[in-house]
Amino acid sequence: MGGVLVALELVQIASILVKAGMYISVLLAAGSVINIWLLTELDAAASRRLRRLAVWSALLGVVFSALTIPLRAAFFYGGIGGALDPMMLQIALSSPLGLSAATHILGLLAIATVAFNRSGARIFAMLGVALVAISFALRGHATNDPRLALSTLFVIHILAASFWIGGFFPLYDMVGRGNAAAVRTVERFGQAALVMVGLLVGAGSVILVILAGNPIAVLTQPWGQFLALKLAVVALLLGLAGLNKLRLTPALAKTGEGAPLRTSIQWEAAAFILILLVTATFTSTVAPEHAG
Amino acid sequence: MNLRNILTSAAFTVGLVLNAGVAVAHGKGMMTMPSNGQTVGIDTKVMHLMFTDPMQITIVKMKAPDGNTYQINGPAANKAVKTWEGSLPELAPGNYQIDWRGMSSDGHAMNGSFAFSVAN
Ligand SMILES: [Cu+2]
Repeated sequence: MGGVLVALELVQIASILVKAGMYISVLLAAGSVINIWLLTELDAAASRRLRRLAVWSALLGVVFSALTIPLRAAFFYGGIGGALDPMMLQIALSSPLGLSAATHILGLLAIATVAFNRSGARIFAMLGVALVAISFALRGHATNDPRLALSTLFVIHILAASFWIGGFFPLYDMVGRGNAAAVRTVERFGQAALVMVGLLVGAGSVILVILAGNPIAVLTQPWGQFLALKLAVVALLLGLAGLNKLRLTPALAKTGEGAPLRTSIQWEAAAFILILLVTATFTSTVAPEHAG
Repeated sequence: MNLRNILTSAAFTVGLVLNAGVAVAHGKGMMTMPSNGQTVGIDTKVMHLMFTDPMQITIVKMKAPDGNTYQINGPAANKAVKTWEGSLPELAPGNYQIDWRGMSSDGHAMNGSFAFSVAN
């Protein structure tokens, strides 16, 4: 794993950072829309801030998604000059990556319409969320056999992850109020999280078994070692989620004291960003035989 | 999650796992000619990259003992091939390294390198 990191070229490091930025902004945009729809107890100010977050992360996501194409062209070319090479750009654009990036961008633009606080825009934004989730299944190993099962699992995995990442900000925002609406919001999110986190972990594990086959053999490869690192942070995140649900939410309900829960949500968000960074690294790390 | 959901997803999981033997990564089993570490004669004119699944090779570069890097020409970068044949320039004795890049059919960026020697 260390060897792979040392051997990375500038173009690959840039690709990993852009991909991580794309994951974070795209999932945040989709997740904010899911939570606008789910968290019915948000007050007007919290709802307005969440919509603004959805719009900004969607626009940022458009930029990151678009950047993946010239970066891929640069990799194909073997240098940053390839980012402007028409042949390499055309190969990147007509590849599954190009289709996936185009679908991301379309979905994100639909999501950005939540800027208008109308029910029509909200339905349009939910369609955008669906497009974004599907776009992740249009590239990489989701396109391998068994394709239908893998694509379905990736879509579930992405939707559940965006639900979770999109909950951090509105929960943090509401918990600061310490009122009854805040408690109901956290409890509602917590109930949905039981199902969603189950789906996230379940779909992730099945994807892993399908792609990796023998988990012991995988651990000898850098790909598997990155994966183990990811799973370690996931375990930490699950621990924090359990702490929130079993201890800190009841404490908020009892005392109205939201500070510990807010701190915990911040740590959860940090762990999530770390997970996405590791995911971006191991899905773009180019092994001698296979880019993963 | 209630018990029924758990059971349904467990059944789903088992079904998929039984299916999983088919999914083999496409990059496995790649071969080259000359192969890594091989010594060839100065009369060698071509090199081959052989894959089990079609691959688009976007660029192949060769580091020669004269210190220069040469681009090796072969099939067009937008064509997917299982066997890529490139024509080598005039070879002098010494050590050579080949670096190639490309894209697998599922859109993954791929690269690899190998070295060979040339003797009289
Ligand atoms: Cu692949």
